[in-house]
Amino acid sequence: MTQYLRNSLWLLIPLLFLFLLTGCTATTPLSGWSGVVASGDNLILGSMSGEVVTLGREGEVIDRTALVEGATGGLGCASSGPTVYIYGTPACDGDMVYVAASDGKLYVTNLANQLSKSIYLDESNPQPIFSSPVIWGQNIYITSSDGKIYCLDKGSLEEVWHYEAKDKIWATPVIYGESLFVGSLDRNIYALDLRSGDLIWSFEGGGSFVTSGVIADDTLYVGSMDRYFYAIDINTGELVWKSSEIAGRWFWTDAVVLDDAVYAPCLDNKVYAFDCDSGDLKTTIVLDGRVASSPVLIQDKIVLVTEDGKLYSIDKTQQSKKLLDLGYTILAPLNYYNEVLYIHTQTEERVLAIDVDSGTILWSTPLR
Amino acid sequence: MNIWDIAILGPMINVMIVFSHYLFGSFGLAIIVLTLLIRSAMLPLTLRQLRSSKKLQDLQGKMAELQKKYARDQQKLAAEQMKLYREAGVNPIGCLLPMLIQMPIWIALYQSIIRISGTSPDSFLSLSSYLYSWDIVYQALPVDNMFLGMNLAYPSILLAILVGGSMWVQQKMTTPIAQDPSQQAQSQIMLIMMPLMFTFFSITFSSGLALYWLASNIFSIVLQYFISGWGGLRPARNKPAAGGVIEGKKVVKKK
Repeated sequence: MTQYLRNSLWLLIPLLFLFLLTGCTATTPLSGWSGVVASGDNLILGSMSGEVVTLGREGEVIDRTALVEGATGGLGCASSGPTVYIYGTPACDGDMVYVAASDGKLYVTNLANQLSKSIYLDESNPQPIFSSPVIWGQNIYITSSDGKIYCLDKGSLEEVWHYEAKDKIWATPVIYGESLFVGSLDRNIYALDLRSGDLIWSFEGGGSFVTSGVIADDTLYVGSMDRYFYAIDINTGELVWKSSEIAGRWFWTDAVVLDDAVYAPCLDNKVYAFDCDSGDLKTTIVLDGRVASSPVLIQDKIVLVTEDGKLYSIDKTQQSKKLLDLGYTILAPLNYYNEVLYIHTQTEERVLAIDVDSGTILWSTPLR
Repeated sequence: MNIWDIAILGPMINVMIVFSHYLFGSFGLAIIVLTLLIRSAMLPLTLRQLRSSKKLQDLQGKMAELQKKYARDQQKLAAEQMKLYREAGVNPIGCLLPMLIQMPIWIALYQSIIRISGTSPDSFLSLSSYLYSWDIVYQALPVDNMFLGMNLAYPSILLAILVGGSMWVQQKMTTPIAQDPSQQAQSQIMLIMMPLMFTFFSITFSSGLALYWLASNIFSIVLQYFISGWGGLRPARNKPAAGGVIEGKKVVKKK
């Protein structure tokens, strides 16, 4: 019997550790995919190491400031890495940089004197923030996984108001006129009064919304996780149209409006072009991979990148052209300033500056 | 997508989402029902294991005799023990087979829970690759991670303790009553080590997996009860008489 017990014990221990190892390998650890924002002559982004990185216009690293010093250990499947992750693109207001992080805090840094402070959006229940802060007037608007959208005074960071949805909010709010629009995982799009936070209307879709959409001609265009694309009247919250075609997978990124069509990238490796007025499907553009990062409008072209790094442009005749095969995983939104496209890559973490017209990489700065 | 994703992870993810849709949107209930289905599918194997354990318990008397007889010759003892196992048709390692088979299920379940619970955009983005084109799957997402006040995406101390406790009960029911002190010590180590390890895993992993272990342990306890009663959980009322060993409740006089 002793032999049996001994055998059992020594067989079990390696097997259980094997379970620990294999069980962990295929999990999806947090990474962060902040976009790049221009501030004066500099570019600012949140790195996958939980730092706020400042680059010069030639790609030189000017400053790296960790939001939180130290790293987490890794017991079991808890991966070792930074203690905070940055998913949202920082917001800049003069020398002030506002960064939202996965620890439920909003960090504010003054680039001029490097003084910084941070606050929990809800200290009693800190939940990760996966969206970007939006500055509008004297306030800053930010959403959280606690299901709330907060309006804070951008100077004192004191709460002005908050509105609570029924589930997590991962989408960055969109501000238009005197209203704020935000999508939630509770399947609703909410329109709130910018000053009071009062609900103006809510629209319930068939699935969750991970983006807040794009507004053109008093219509909000947004894709949902139910694989349908919606056009909603921003004044009444009424449905203008819903796509008749069901997509292969869900809509994950923002859409772009160009002329009379709204272009909606989807995780099914396609870009759907709907007529803005009728919702009729004009065409479907098939790409070599799925698009998980929000595209940009550059002059009269839509520029987008697939998750595996293939950069495309789509013109107003719905013709697509592959510009570059970058070879990196890209989940961060694309950003375009002063005729240069900036991309934050999630493999070999880099910032790329690309001249879209010539299809050349101007510079590539590693962040690791 | 590799073969693991296509053959195991994908089906498990989609089935769990569909279950949670029909079970009032509760991810916790989906895990419990899936556990019961998996354990029921493995019932023939489990019954074999339980009967094997029972036979091992029944062999205790003879084992004690062998240990006494060959106390000074460990090699001979091992050979005789193996002979005894063979004659009784028992494979001591065979008891571990159901656990071995369950291991890929644990791994798949853990990976499924992480993806379905969608605590971060990364896990949701990853989940999208596994979803079948069934409307119901898309309607069911995101699932409700809250179950009896616990968020199944995160570890739960309470569930971890329950996993450890139920595993101890299950182990205690199947552990044969050992006679000599060294055997008893080994049994005690085994009896404590496994529940401790699983308690540790439960604290480390998301509590959805702990819920699977707890439901699975309760299933085993109930099954074990119907096969061999309370087993080792019964208070040992009889002490071995001088020169005798306990075989169940019967004291057998040595020849």
